Amino acid sequence: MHVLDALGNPVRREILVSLRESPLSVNELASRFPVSRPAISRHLKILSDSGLVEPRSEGLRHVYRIRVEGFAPVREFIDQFWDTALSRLARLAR
Amino acid sequence: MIEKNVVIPCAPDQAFALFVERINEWWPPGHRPSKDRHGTVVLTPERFADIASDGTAYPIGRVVGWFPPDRIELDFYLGTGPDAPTAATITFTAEADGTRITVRHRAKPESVALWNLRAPAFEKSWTVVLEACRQLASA
Repeated sequence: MHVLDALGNPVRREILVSLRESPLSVNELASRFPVSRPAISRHLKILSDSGLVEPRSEGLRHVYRIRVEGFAPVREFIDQFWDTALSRLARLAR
Repeated sequence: MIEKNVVIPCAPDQAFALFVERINEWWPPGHRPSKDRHGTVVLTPERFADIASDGTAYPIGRVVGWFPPDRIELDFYLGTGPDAPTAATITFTAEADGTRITVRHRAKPESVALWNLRAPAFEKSWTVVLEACRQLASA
């Protein structure tokens, strides 16, 4: 799944906001959201597959943390969008 | 903030009209939320959307300010979604050889976490911190 599709879900965005404060386990995340643990796991799988979070072992704890570099695509998307759009607009004006 | 500009060979009122009235001709085909090749992108003070051929409207954003022929202010949904919009301001400035169209696109409070995530305080990896600095420097 593309990173922008991964971000297109309010629960996943809230998970990311929670993980900005500190890495958290699936159970810790599930206790903060009105959705089931399996649902949280599915959201984490999508976030992990798209590079926005990564699993990590802290001793016996299995936690998820933010991957900062995974967020660059939002900026890149907007950046490239306007490059394409403005060059098409300029062509139209000629 | 992302800033882009282009100069086109006409007066600001014509540039504004081109931007708005012919948006369906210049809006990139790969960035249409309807995914319908025969859809129509429309930008009016009331509506900023991609209308599929079956009539379904897919919002692209929302017009926040409409000041022809100088400026358009938009909430922009592509990339982050309607509940975490980004903000784009389009300005039309007269120059000797035409009109400079400038786009300034930035995060809003709702989208800042998605737009440019700063290195969180807990993060100890220098690789990640340096990468975040590079992203900020190229902002």
